[in-house]
Amino acid sequence: MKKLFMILSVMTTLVLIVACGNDADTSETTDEGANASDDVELKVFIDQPRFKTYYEDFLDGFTEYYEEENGITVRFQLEMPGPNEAAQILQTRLSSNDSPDVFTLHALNNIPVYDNAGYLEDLSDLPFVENLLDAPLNAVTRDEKVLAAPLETIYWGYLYNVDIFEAYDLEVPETISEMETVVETLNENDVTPFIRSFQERNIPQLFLPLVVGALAETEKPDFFERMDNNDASLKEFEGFFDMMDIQNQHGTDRPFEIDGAQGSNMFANEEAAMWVQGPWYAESILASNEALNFRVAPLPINDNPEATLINASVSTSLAVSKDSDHKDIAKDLVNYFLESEASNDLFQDLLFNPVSTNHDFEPFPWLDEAMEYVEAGRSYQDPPIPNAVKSESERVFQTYLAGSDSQDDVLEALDRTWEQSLALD
Amino acid sequence: MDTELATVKTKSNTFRFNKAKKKKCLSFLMFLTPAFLFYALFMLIPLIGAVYYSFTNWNAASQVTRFVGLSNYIEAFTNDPYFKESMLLTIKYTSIVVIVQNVLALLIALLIEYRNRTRNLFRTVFFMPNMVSLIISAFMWSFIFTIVLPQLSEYGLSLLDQGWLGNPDVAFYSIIIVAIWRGTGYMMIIYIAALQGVPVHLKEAAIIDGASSFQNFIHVTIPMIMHAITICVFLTLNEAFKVFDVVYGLTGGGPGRSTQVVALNIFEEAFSGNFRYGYANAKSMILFVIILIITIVQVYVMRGKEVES
Amino acid sequence: MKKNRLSSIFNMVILIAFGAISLFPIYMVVINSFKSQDQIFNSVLQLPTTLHFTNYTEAFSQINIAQALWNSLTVTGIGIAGIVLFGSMAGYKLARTPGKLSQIIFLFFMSSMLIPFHSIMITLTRMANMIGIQGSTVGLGLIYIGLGVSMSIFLTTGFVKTIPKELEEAAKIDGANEMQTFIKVILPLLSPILVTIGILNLLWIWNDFLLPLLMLTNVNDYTIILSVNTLFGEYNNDWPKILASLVITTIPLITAYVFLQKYILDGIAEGAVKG
Repeated sequence: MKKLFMILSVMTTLVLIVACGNDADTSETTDEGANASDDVELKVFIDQPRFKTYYEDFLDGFTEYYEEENGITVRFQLEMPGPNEAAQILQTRLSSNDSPDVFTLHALNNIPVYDNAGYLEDLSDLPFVENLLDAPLNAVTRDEKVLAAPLETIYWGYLYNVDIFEAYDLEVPETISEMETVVETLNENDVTPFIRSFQERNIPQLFLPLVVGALAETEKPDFFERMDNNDASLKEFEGFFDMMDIQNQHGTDRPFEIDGAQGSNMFANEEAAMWVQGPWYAESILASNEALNFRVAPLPINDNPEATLINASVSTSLAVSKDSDHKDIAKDLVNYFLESEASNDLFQDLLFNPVSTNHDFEPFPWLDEAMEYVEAGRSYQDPPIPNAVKSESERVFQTYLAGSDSQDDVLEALDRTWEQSLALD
Repeated sequence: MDTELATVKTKSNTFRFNKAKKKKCLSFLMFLTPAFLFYALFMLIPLIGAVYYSFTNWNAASQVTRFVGLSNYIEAFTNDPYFKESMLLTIKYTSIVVIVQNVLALLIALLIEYRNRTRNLFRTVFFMPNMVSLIISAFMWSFIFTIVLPQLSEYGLSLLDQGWLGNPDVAFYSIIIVAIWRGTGYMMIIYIAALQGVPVHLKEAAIIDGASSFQNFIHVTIPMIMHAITICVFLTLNEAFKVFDVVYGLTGGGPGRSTQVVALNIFEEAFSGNFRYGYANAKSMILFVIILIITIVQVYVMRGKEVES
Repeated sequence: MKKNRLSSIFNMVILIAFGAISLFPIYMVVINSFKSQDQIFNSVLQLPTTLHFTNYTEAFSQINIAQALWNSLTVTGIGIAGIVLFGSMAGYKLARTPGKLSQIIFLFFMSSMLIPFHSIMITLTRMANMIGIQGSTVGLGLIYIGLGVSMSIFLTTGFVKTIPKELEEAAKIDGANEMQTFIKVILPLLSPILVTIGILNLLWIWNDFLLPLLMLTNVNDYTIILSVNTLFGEYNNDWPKILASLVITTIPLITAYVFLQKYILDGIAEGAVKG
């Protein structure tokens, strides 16, 4: 009896060693497989479930196209988790050697980390690279290698209601003092200046890239480099909280019960004149009020008009896993996303901006002013803030806005998380 | 049965027994292996793995995992204010939920005991919330808190006009409301069953003695259902310490970290921010040990008060 | 007499009040699931004037309900079958084999019942991935067996001790081997406790959120609870559709409850008292 039990426990231990041993060496026989079998399954991970049907149709189109071109039937296992869970799910997959063949990532936030971890395949040789516009190309390039294909590019700062601004003869503010004047005028006329929608943590979080991006661009160009060497602190930025405070003091009621959807509804119904938010809410604003006349403008941070800049960001991009068993097909798919005729339609359906010379449609009206800023060089690339710091800022900004943390507490917490994220490798 | 056992023991050295033993072994294995296999794969090995990794710096970003000794545990105890706060919050939450839920469940069970025709109806009604998944309950109540109660407050119930989920001071109690709403029915069922087990002659004897009904309850009923109280407190204690779904669905731990319970703190340590699996494992081990100690003490203390019936 | 009557009325009033609180959220969700967004914002308490079934059709089109139901059934079915069968086998054997070793194994299983899921979730995810069952509903069902079998052993062991041994011996004399005896003689005798185990696990597995979230990778494999969770995504916060999906999700279990309530309620009391 005891012997048998021993055998069982030895077995268990063996399984344990095999299973939990830290085996980075799972060198699976990579079967490029194109010729071996003509039925291939690709795992695709896209963190935009709201566009599920569009992506499904697009992938069906690829299957058809690929079958005709290469005689290979590509089937898809499409994973589309909600935005709240997407990051953690992808992270789990990647770190447990269960990477999807093709997955979305945030170009500026994730590429450096994932590239260091060795998850990303070099895409520099693919035809789509030739046709990319400069700004998106820069965002997906690291060490002269193109590591992802940009899908969603965003030019943002805050949104303002053009009709309200015109009604009170207001100019788009170029400095924070001008912003205060705008706020004053609005208050005098009983118009609430700002929508406050802090229930969703990532909305107050937006201040982090806006403030850090603009200030680093104008005052401390070496900030990120020094931060990486543990030789800088967010406390260096004077007036970090100024704009946040103005918004918080002159906003709509009960901010912690208002999420993005409600916020966009309120903005659409002209309950306030401005909303610190990106144009990614355009779709839902227009759904509530088709006629709303709004524009994207750069957020003033201090009294230096040079620091009033548009944030130019490439968020969602497509990458190919280095561990993929079907790398070639995965690459063909990514290329298809930007080079095919279907690409033009997809980008328009999803309300994305053009990223490639293949895209021949006009950007959206609410972006025309923002584009002018960008063309005049008045923009900066979304700053490379580690994901961990961003998610920490979601928590601490909420706490600050609710009045429980001091400014120092907030900045110290962010500094600490930044330091921890460096200590990881 | 006993005699057989005795013979087995006395003859344990004989050859005949060895042969029987072998056969017994085989059948023992046959019956236990399936359960053990699944248990080992999905419980035991992950647990051992978790203990092991709690001593490493395993995280999502780096591909090499290093052994770091006790440093995760030291960090959790000395240099992680959020963990400490979340632990204190969980303890506060647990004390409130355990008391309110059990008192309420027992009260309702007593009230239902007095009904004859409607007993089953009420039992059914009070248990109904338990059929709704925790996360779905949280979503349902988000609707109640954000849409229904503010509108209800316009009917002169201004008390209901709160930042139920948005105000850091109120959100904690909103979570408790949902937990109690969902959990009380379960405990009530157990208390009703226990109350039915109290012999009628005992209650009658007390009444003849002239005991008032409250004294009757304290001195006769409570001791008789102490067993059920132990179980219910054990169950609620366990559940409350591990609370996750409701908080995740209602507030996500916010605003800020004002409602971040310890399970959520661990979850976020592992699956957001810096994805520090090893450190999260260390914190989860601390949670495990705390739950273990508290429940053992609770069961030990309360068992001592149970009457043999 | 009079006093009794009065207290009875008082008692009834309190019960009705508590009962109303208990049902209020469910009632609110159900009636509002038939309204338009405007109606919800303006008159949440009123009964709907016109029934917006479109909320339901939209919810249906957003999440593939039939598929999600099937996934939930697969996971729950496999989980419960394994837990009941393997748990009762082990529990029976442990109860019938007196001695130190049985006791140790028993305690060994029991000790796991206190382990918070959060303690094993990270390594469990990795394990599932290693043996290649991550992302499959069948695999998820198997994992539930591992997590739930202890409780099943616990309950059956207690129950088996109340069954007289004579029956098995009679079967043995008739020439049945042990497994046959177990299936033909013991399992039927165990059925009350097996129903209890089944019900407790049904409530747990069907309604579980975190484990499926970590294990299921494909939208088409999502259980019904997970499917509804995705509806709560950042850009989709419209109440009519959400409320409709909440109702759809809850209906299967509520229906089961209405028909099986006696078993469910007794099962829970049984499960607890046996502990």
